[in-house]
Amino acid sequence: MSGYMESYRGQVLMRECDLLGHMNIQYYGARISLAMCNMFHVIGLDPDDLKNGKRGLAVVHQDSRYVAELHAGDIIHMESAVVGSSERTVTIDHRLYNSVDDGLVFSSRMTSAYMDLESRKAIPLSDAIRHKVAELKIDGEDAA
Amino acid sequence: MSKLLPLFRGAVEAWECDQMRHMNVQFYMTKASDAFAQLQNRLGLSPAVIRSTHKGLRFRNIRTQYKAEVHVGTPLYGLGGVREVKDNLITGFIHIFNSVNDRLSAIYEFTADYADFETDTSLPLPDEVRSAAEVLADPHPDSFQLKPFAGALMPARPLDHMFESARGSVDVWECDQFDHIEMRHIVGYFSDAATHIINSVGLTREVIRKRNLGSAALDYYSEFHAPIRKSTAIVLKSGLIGADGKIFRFGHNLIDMDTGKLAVTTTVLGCYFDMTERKSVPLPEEFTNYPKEKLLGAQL
Repeated sequence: MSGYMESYRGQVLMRECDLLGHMNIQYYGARISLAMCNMFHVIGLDPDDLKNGKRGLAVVHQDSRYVAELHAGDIIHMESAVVGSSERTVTIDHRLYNSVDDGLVFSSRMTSAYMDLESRKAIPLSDAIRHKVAELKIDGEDAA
Repeated sequence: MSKLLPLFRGAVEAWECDQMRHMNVQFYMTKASDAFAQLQNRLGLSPAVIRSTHKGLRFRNIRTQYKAEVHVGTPLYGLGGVREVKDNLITGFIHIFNSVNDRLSAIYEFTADYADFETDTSLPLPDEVRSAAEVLADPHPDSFQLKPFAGALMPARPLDHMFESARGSVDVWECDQFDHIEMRHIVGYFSDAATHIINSVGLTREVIRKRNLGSAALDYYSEFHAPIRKSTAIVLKSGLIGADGKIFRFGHNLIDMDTGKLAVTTTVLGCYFDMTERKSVPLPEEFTNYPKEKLLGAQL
């Protein structure tokens, strides 16, 4: 789907699987965390900006759907898209796929607030991020 | 069809960075292992096929060159491909890039065979895997080409003046679904050993900190002789092969204590750098003053 870009590609490790024999939910979150590092860069926040500018994005809301199981050794990739924004937030939709057949295994829509890491408060998006988000944003309903 | 394959995308986690404030070598290996799993799928060895047959590709040797350090939060991506299929061996490569500036951060060049993960025996390449690999095989002249590993290589035998640099047993959570140690943890042993080797030349952590020095691996070459399985007691024997100018050279032999077999042989090239400037500096005098008769290089 246009507007989605690859944000993670890897595999499921044996130690990430639980007593049910599939990847435990905490590791879906780990993949989103890695995908977000890539999306930070895409929307104009590179690691130096994070360190020097003392700014960051922190999750304030998340809706997730677990669609299919993942097992040890499975290869996976995530695609992400900007689907919304407000004065202080960016909403990104993440979709995790089994790389063998491109079947959807998990999706999560996450709203993150732009933060001043010294005051620990949400602040308005920078002009650079606002412009980039506007350029990348796709129809949120289309991504639902 | 492009023969250069997208095999990895991720980022550097905070807990993957060591006291040098950059991503530790074992986590480069994690990313290369992820990429290798994706490459196997392109060769017809999907995770389901590997799980049902208990067979797949395994590394016989790996050359790793670290080109540029990466720090916490850095987004990364990996490309790779097959260079050649010869007899029953596949040679290929994985390149890990910094997504911010597209700078090449690490290079893996490997030779792999097809193996039974239960018996750990090498098998002929299945026809369908060979065909898929031959379709992808390409010298990739536009991708970075490593020069041959220069200088002395650690031999697959014990040498005088090697000492114990690490000891442990392989935990369940360090293993894959076939009860083999993950590649990351093998590299982790070599990483842990570095501090012991530095200590053996007369440097302490306090001295290193006072001089504002860090150390970095530049080049690894590993050969895999025997499998390492869950619960195995292992010991690492190491020594300084040589030290000249800005470059030191270590040798490692990782031994399975249950069988007494040498499992992995590795040669490591590295340097010291100024922790503030992040630039290489001449080796500390403790390295250059190390007794020449104790250098493993004298026996090679």
